[in-house]
Amino acid sequence: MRIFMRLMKIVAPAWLAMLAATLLALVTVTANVGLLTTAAFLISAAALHPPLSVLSPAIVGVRFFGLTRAVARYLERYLAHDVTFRLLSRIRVWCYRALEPLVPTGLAGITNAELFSRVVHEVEVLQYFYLQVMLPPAVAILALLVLALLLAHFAIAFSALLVAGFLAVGVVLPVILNRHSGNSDENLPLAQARLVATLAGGIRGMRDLMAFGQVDSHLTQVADAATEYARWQERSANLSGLADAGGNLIMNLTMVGAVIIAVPLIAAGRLDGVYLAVVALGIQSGFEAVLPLAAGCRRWHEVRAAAGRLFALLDAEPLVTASPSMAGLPPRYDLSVENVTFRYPNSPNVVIDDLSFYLPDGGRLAIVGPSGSGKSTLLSLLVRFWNYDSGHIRLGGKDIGDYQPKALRDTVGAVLQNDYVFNATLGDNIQLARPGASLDEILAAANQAALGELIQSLPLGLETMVGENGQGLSGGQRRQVSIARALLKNPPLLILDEPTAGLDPVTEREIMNLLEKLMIGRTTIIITHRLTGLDNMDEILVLNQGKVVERGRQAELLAQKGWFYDMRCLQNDIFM
Amino acid sequence: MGNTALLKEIRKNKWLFGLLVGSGLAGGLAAIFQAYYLADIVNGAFLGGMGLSGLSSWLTVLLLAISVRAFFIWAQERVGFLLAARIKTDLRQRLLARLFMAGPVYVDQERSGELINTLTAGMESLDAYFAKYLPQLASALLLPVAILAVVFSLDITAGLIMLVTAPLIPLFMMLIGGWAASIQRRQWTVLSRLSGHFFDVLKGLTTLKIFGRSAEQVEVISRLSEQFRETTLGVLKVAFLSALALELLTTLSTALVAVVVGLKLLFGKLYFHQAFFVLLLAPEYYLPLRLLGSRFHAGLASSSAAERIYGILNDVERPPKQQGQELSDSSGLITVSFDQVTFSYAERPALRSVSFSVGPGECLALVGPSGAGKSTITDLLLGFIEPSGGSISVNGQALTGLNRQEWLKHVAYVPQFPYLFPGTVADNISFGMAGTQAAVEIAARDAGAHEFISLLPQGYATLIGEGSRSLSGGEVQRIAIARAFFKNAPLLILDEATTGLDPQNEATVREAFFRLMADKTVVVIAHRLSTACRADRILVLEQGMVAQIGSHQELIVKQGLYSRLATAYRGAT
Repeated sequence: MRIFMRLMKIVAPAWLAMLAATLLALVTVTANVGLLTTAAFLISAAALHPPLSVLSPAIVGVRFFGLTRAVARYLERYLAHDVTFRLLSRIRVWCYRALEPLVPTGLAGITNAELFSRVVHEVEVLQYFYLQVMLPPAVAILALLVLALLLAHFAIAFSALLVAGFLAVGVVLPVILNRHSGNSDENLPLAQARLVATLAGGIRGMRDLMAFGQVDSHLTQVADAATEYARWQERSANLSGLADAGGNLIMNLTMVGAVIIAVPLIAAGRLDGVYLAVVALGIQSGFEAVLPLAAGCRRWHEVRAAAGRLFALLDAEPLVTASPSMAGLPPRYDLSVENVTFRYPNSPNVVIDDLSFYLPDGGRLAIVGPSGSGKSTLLSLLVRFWNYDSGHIRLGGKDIGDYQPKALRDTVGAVLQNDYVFNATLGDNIQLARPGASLDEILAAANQAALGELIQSLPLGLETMVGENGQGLSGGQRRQVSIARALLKNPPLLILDEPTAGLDPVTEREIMNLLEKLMIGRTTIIITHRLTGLDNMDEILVLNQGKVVERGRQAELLAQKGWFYDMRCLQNDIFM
Repeated sequence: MGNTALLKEIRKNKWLFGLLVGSGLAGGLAAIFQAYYLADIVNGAFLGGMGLSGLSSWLTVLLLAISVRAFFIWAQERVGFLLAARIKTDLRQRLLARLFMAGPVYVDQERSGELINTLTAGMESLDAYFAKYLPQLASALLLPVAILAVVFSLDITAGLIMLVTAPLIPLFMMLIGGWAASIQRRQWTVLSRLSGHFFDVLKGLTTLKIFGRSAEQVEVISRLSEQFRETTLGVLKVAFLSALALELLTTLSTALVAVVVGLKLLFGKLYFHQAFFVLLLAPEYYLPLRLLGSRFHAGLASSSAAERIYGILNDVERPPKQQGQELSDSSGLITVSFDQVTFSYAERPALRSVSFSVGPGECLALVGPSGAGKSTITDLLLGFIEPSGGSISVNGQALTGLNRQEWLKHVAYVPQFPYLFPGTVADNISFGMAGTQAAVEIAARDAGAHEFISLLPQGYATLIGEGSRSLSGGEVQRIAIARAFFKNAPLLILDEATTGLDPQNEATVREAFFRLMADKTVVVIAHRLSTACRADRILVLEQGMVAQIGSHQELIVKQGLYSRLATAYRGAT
């Protein structure tokens, strides 16, 4: 219920459109009832051979209801989808607002790619909250009220019967089916996930499977997973079959019930026989309003589960909050890290262990070390995605916690290995570094990042769409976009995280040259496992398991013949 | 075209499909009976002055018809599911078997992500076709004809109205559907971009945050979602017109039928129970046609999936045979010879008359820039592909004549990116081959993997692979090497890893590598100079051709690709 109320709160501002769509849905149902009852009355009355004038209102009526039904149905569908998309927009905005402060680090233990596709999936489920969860019961209740009142005009017993029938279809049937579902709604997606994982593993690991003669055993595994999945699917199909059949059965039984009630009333003269067919068809056609409830009920379970997961995720407290009393831009850009220690929440391992260094304004520091040594974590601490446990990080003499997080990030330019390129134009992708930048400034930055030739070769130039994930660009070009962004932002502090990872040697050389220019006049930290172009660094820290194992200039480290020397030899050993 | 292939699947399940269509028809016939007896009962009570006792036998039949109808509604869903599940299971296994027959080279070309999607989501979308669309198509063709026959026997005018309006329904659906589809096609790029925008922003959130641009995205999301709504509604506005036309035809012709039979009744040309029966039949007549309309789109999605599935099933050019001889010389020693071997991927030559030979205790290193043909050679050795020219022989026997599965028993393979399957560490080392726990442990020790495995929470019983504990690159490498130790095959094919290793890990992995190579026939794709140094011979490849062949000492002093490669990269650093 709490989940329902929270969802209601998110969708509530669209109440007017929701109300309108609901009323139109009601009109659609009642127009159909009107059409069939009027038709039934027309025929019943005609059987008594009255003058034609008695029938003419009914003759007009059937056409009116027929037309109303069709038009109302069209408008209802249009409006209901309009509402659905409005809600999608609202849910996305709500979700983004909640997620934004938590990324990239407030969501313990979940990798971002997995997280985001999950969020997008849950949001897609939630968008049907109105159309498939709220709308059906609302229409059912309203239609029940209208029809019960109309039926009471003939006999109160009919109204009672209708209420019973609606309750049976709308409440009892879903409850019974739910009880017999054997958790198929939860188990079906699990079984499906297992099948998908098995299939995907077989495709990705095909070389290994074939080379080791494991194809047949893999096919057996797939068959097993498929059987398990089919078992749950069968339960699910059985349930929806039972729901459809049960709904239809109750509808027709209720109609027969109405006939059984009516016959003695007619015999007793308390009901005009003309209305027998009217009542029977009215009750039968009214069920259109309540039949979708069984499906809506199952949909609700789905929506509730999705919303529950989403709420649980987004209710996390952001680690870093801004307050207006915090300072703006720092006076100078020297960086001092003093005895900093950090471990991820809920993890026993110290990731940064008593780390200290001083980087003067305009100085250059390289941090190298094997993967998992804590290099990138340090970066996250510097831009305050995480807060360190003890020690100090000072920028311009002041603790970085004392600056506005946004002001801090404004002073930092970053070229990261996983910098994202948006599915937008090349120009927009660069401009995001500085919204107010003019076209000339963007072009200048692009040229400095050696993108000039590419832009000229493209018919649309800066207006070229780069595709999903920047697919239209090569690895080197994506890095160049990152560099162009940093150039456009023109920050006093520069952080480079594996800026040449995954590039071939020639491209690596070119990118390093560009970065060399970018570093001039900026306080720079470069994090890398590639020991290339480090001769100009003021200091190199070799990090292993969060600890500094070696430090000094490149020449000194090579002379020491320790970690750095070993890594360098190893790297030189690779020749393609 | 996807549809004809799908219909072929139906032919294999004739009985089930017949049962499915039969259930639909039986349900429809029950509905006709229901209408007939309801008309009689209302007639009896209204005009015949009959009481409940007089009507009781009719009521019993009515209740029976109602129950039968409900039963067949349920049966239709059940049988529909069964049919779809059977066809899907069969098709999935066939597709998968075909993919394994085609081998990893084909799969790599076809992009594995798309293949996985076809195997999973694509397969599931067939449900809609077999369980919903096809049976509905049968009902829509048969039931209205039956109802029409009944109506014509009662009243010709009503019959004519129904006869004329029915064909209009599919006609309107096709016209409007085509119109909507063309609008949608025009808007396709806009729509797909707008609908993907939210995901795009989420994926780039860290980048936005670093640039201090994340907060303002709320407004962009809201604006683009709004734009998405407007564009989509523009398409739906037209698409829903088909529903409007459908609804209008149904309701107005029902109204018309009511008026026509009502007036005939008034003028005594029809009995009440006949007129009422016709009125009750009118909605039943249009129902299958309307349902067909709503399931039409699901059917369309299925046929596009079917096209992809059958595309793959028919695409594999020459399914490599599973038959073939066994290796007759089973001395446990392997000598492999390439004689003028040529191979092309889709017309593009990847290997051009390559010849070499490597025997027991020898190590051949393959060296060259990426795309030079190194992995084509190992793929040929593993039987994933067959040469388009020249011949490969194993102990004098042609490799193409050998049974692939049988041949691979003599080969151990360590790929550059080994894949760990969900399961325990021990399962991943023994990998389906027979052997004791002690043998697994010995293999792990030889591979230098025992130490880190012992530190895992459950040791060799620790679950690894997708969705479980993740291992580092070096650890995965060592498990793959342990796999090869465990297999202990006479021919060893290695693809060296270059990333994800630190100096300590690296040393352990390399020691294990060299231990594994001892006394075997070895073909190694070398990315490291030190590996090439230790090989007996180095095959230097360039654009699919052998550029140089010789030992490190011989090659390093010659002016050639090898000495260039050996010095160039180091010079760059």
